[in-house]
Amino acid sequence: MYYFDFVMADLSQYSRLTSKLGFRKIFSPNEVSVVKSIRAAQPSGRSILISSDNRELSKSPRAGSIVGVIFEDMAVRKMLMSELRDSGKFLVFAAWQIVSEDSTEAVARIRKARELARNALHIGVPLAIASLAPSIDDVYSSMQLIEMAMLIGAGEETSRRMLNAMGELLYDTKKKK
Amino acid sequence: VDANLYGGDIRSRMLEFMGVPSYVDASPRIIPVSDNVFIVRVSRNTERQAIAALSFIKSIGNTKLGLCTIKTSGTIKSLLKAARSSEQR
Repeated sequence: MYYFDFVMADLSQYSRLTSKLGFRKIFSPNEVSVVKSIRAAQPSGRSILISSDNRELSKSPRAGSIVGVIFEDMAVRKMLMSELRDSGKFLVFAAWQIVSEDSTEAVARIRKARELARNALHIGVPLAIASLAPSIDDVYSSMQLIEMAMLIGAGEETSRRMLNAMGELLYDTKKKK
Repeated sequence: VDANLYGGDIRSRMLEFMGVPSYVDASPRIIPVSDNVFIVRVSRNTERQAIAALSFIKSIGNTKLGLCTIKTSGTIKSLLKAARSSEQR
């Protein structure tokens, strides 16, 4: 199974990073952008929407340019998650939503992410995890991202799929073009 | 990061994130390889906890950084070989 990552920083200067970290491909912001509103998403491209605004999030299942959604506040939105499942869009966890330098804060974040992941798995939303690194210091290897997915309650097989499914969808689409 | 200097800091941060029982089970040791590569030796079956704990370390001393796990193996010899070959490439 191939693993894919998505980043928010331009890491083109770091050669061999992709293979070193155990990925098939790391999608740059030019290929898959992270946007705060659907209006900002490129119609021809692929974007990940990050928001905690319910109105903005509720439009995401019908937006063709959105491939995945990040609930910035990690609140459980069952109706929206059902719509995401029906439209085949991914609920994405960013590594920086889980990681914190302060251990107490880290525990609180993991508990919140666990609740969201548990509900998402119950509803059947496709899940994904990515580093979405804003800088080189925030990049993680595939091994680390799998462990993070397991920390938030996904089983081993699900964790591996979380690192594979969204990237494979986009990678194949690009190859076909 | 000079792992010779920061080995103790890395282990104390691992203790913070793993907790005492898991840390004692893992009993991590830091083995420096080069300026920015080091090996973390842990007991068998505790490597996953160590990988997770390393992900949460975002600074050592006053230095901000990110730690990436590149490879896990049962022997230090093969890790040294992999680290040296990746440096040569």
